[in-house]
Order: sequence, then structure tokens, then C-alpha cells
Amino acid sequence: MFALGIGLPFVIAPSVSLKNGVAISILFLAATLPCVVIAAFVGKKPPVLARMPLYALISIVFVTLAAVPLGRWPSIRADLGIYIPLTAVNTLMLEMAARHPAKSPLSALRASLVNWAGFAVVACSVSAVRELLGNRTLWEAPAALLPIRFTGVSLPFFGFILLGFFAALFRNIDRAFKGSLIREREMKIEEERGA
Amino acid sequence: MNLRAQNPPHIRSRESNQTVMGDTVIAMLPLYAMAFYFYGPRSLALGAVSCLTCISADFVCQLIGRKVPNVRDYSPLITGMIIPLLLPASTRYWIVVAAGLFAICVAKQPFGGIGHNVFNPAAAGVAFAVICWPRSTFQFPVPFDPLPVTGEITARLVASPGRALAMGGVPTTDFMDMLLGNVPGPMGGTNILVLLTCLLFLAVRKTVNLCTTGAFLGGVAITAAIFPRAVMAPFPSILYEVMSGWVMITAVFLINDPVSSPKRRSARLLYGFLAGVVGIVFRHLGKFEDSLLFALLVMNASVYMIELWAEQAAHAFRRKNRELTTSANLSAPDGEDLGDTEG
Repeated sequence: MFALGIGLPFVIAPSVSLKNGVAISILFLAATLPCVVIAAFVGKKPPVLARMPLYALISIVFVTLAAVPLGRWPSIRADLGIYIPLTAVNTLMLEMAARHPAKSPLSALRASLVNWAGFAVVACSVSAVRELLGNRTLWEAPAALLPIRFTGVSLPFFGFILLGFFAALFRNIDRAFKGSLIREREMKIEEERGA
Repeated sequence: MNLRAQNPPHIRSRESNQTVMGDTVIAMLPLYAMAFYFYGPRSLALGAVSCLTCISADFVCQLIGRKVPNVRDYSPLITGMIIPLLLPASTRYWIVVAAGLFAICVAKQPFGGIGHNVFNPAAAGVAFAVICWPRSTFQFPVPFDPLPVTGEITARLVASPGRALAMGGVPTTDFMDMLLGNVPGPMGGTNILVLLTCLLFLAVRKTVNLCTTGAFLGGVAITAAIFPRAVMAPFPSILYEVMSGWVMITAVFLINDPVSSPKRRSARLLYGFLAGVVGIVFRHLGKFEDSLLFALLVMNASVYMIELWAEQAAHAFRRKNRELTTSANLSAPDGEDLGDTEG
């Protein structure tokens, strides 16, 4: 997720506070999970041209149901705005649903949960950092990390920049992890040769 | 033959990157001298803090990137010197530090460091400061009002002539005062006469390209004449737009950044002109008092396209030229019989 940067608009624009990040993650779960699992059950039975509209329709139903409780938090609903309906037709969900029509529902469920977890980690991390730097709060409780407020971090450009830095950090961690695995394998091979 | 691709700045004379950067540093010293004259030692303290921030951030970023820091690379020093010149002398130190850190850690090093940055780091850093703290960046002390080096600023903070233009009014500032820098404004942006002298120095040393500066000022002048922000004749509109805000300091230092500007002459002309036009358009439409730095950043992002167009135009021109020359050579000149074998 970090490395590919998928799901950009949801992370960049509305995720200016941790509550928004959690809300968009829940909506994303409602959009992705049922749609991908149902797509796995339905398989390749629907005609090709009808599959995408069907997946979008399923997603819209579940996102609408998930968005109903947001009425209790009008400020979050106002912040998320157009991104609530956009979650229902996001490319990531459609791509995953299209990838799993012939696979088992269990593997589809596992894949969608893993994907959702990655999205939620990204969205919540970016939201938390932006709230800390922009408002000096976390979950609307005072949490002054720095003595100054960076009001500009709530703008989308900073979300882009932060996402870029997270992507670079993840790539470095991934490379370091893979590098250590390769080194272990090489050491084992040398030991076997020595033996 | 060993060919090694290198990124800008490219120097094809006896000069080196070091001398070019050294010239820029020397050219900024008179601006700091004037800032000290108008605003006192706080201006020098701001410069020192900014330079220290940029140099340290650059050093740390290079260590993180497993590069060997080059002590003869003056680029972070130049960035550190330019940032306070674009801000008021009453700017708080942490704004300058934040701008410096953004310039180096976001606008420069993630793109690969010196020679690879797409955006002008100083412009990006100050643009970030403007977005985050617009009130602090557009409130200026009056020249000769004493400013404390440390502690709270109790001096009177006023608007620059640019604010009057942004509100649709005509500034009441005398042109001579604007020329001499005796007006509230960015620390290094108000001393027009000194900036012109710096430009002359850099032009004689061949550090800057007068084409780009001229095209930029031309773009500003033409757009200001056609679309004045207040009800006034074209000539005063041109003078007020050029002498207020960041126009002159951009024309001398920022537009001529060898890394973030195009290489071809035709591309530089187009780049400079468009930067001037877009700058004035942004001043009309933007919500800030002066949005010129944002226009510069947009143009930095467009450099690749401008270079491509310029290269395609140059190829088309050379091809046309070659065709014309070939067709002229093929046609027989008068008096000469090419195929006559008559004895």
C-alpha cells in the first residue's frame, strides 16, 4: 500500500485528524470487504460488462449503511464530504473485486482484510501526524508535540508530501528486511558448502 | 572515451560550481548590509540562524542518504541566505527554521540533492512559511524602527505597498523611497537599487543569464501594463508591480537558479516570460498579498515541458534550414551548364 500509493485521494484530502482517518478506514472496510467476498462467491457468472457496475452497486449499499452512524458526528461527516460516496467507487476496491472472481471466498476475505489493514494504517498514520502538527491535538485531546502549529499541513499538498515520506520509509524498511533475508540465505548456503 | 552523465549546474568555462556559488553569496552580502542598516542586527541573526539550519539539515540528509558531504558545496548556504531576504525582518526565528528545513528536507534532498532538485528550495521553503503563517510573513517592520535580536517584537508592523495593490488601491509610497528600500517589505526585496547592482555584478561575472531576467521582467511589465490591479496608468502599474514584493529579488536570484531553470536559451526566454506573466496572474487571483513564489514553483514544475518544446522547435528549425540550403544547392546557378558536353 505504502509503496504503490494506491488510495491517494482518501489519504491526502480528508485525513486531517485521527477521527477522520478512522472514519474513512471504516468506510473503506464497508466498501471493500463485502464487495470482494460477494465477487468471489459470484465468480465469473455475470457478464464481463456487468461486473464493475455490480461491484460498485454492492459497495454503494454497504457504504450507505456504514455512513448512517456518521450522522452522530456531523463535523466528521462535513470533513469527509464527497469522499463518503467516492469510497464506494474507489479503484482499489474495484481492482480487488475484479481480481478475485474465480478464487475462493476465504482467500478473497483474507486478501481484502490485509489490504484494508494496510489502508487503515496509512490513513490513520497520516491523519495522526497532520492533526499533531496542525492542531497540536490527537483525537481532539491536547498533545503538543511542538510548541508551534503548522496550519498549512491540513492542505492536500502536505498530505502528498507526508505520503511520499511514508512510502520512502516503507521501501527502506522493506529493502532492509529483504536484504537481511538474502544475507541469511547466502550464509546458509556457504555453511552448507563448507560442511 | 569514458562518458559520464552529469546533472546541472554545468559550467563550461574556467569557472567552477564553487565560483558560481561564491559569486551568488558575495552578491547577497550587500543586501544583508542594507538589511542591517534598516533593521539592525536582527537581520543578521536571522541570516545566521537560517544558514545554520540549512547547512545542518543538508549535512544530516546527506549522511542519511549515505553520501559524503561536500564542504565546497555552497548551495545550502545560498538557500539559507536567501530565505530571510524573502521574509520580514520581524519574522520569528522558528519560521525561518521551519522554512529552511522544508527547503532542504522536502524540496531539495528527496529529489536527489544538488543538481537534481526540481523546485527552487528557497522559494519552496518560503512558500511553505507563507501557507502556514500568512500573517507573520506579510507584516513588515518600518525601516529604522529598532527590532530586538531576541524576545517579543514590540515594534509597529505595517503592510507593504503590495497590500494596497492587492486590495485594488494605489500605493501612496514615493518611487524614490521604493528605489532606495526605505519602505516596509521583505528584508532583501525592497532595495531595488542594490538589487540592480547585484544583478550587474552577477551579469559581469556571467553567473546569471540576463535573457531570463529580462524575459521575466518583461512578462511582469507587459501583464501589469495590460491588467493593472488598480485604476492607474500602465507605467505606474509596471513600476509598482516590479518594485513591490518579491519581483526584483526573484529576477536577480531565484529565476536564474541553474538547476531548476531550463538550459536552452529559447527555453529560458519562454520560462522567464511565462514566470512573469503567471506571477502577475497569481497576484490578481491569489489570496495572499504576493503569490509570486507559487508562480515560480509552478514554472519549475513546467521546465521539462518547456525544454521539450524548445528542443522540438530547434530541431524543426534546423530541419527547415537544412531543406532550404539543400534545395538552394541543387538548383543550377546562372551561366553554368552542368550537363553540357559540347566541345
